[in-house]
Amino acid sequence: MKTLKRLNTFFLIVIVLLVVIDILFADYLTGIWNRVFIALLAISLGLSVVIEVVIKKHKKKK
Amino acid sequence: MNRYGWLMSSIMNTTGDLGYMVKQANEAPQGAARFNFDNLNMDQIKSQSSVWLSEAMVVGGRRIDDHSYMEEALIISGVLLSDDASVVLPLDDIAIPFILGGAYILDRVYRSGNTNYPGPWSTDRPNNYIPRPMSSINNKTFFPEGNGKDFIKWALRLGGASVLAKKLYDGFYLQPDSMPVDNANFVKPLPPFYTPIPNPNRP
Repeated sequence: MKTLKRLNTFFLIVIVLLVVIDILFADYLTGIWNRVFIALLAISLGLSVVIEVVIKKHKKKK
Repeated sequence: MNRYGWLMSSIMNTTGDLGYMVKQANEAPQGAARFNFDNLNMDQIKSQSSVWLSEAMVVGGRRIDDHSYMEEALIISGVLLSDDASVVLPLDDIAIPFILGGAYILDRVYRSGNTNYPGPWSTDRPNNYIPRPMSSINNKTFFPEGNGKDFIKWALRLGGASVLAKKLYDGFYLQPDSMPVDNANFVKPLPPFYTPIPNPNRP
């Protein structure tokens, strides 16, 4: 449970960093880096939401 | 609302000023009553136009929208029904539904159902006025996902999702149609910088 919460926080920080990177270095995010950026953002967003749902279900079971 | 009221109010609401009406009045034919707007301010013009509006609505000392088309249609229907026993046969009763239907349509088209529109306005509070209770909001359930930490979490996720959506939208493009290929006369395209190696066994 604690690990999941830490993971969630980590992914949230990653999302914030990626958004900041997109704002600051949007001109350099071309080609493969654009795809890498999209993949990282999608993965961190999806896992963050999945972890949130898992935590909520775990709480409900208790 | 009567038809003149509809016309006037639509003109005033769409143009936002009375310039159109002023133009109409100044371009009236010779002999018609003219009104001089030069020495009037906008409030006076507006009050004068409201006087015209109320004059237009009064016909025979009675406001036009005091009664409805349906009222008149019911009177006509009563006459048609009452002459069945007398000179005229009940043959004319066939007209009643058409008269009623026409009156219904006219009422729907030309009347709003509010006989006081567009006036006279009153600032008196009606007797049956009940103040609407103001519903309070619950701070704990205002955001569907909760307040505080949870709200920040979902706000960050939504921000990231919007960035992702914009990236995907910018990168999206339609694939071009494939080129048609003549398979019968297909020639394998040569690679670039092709240098044929001479075959000694070739005739």
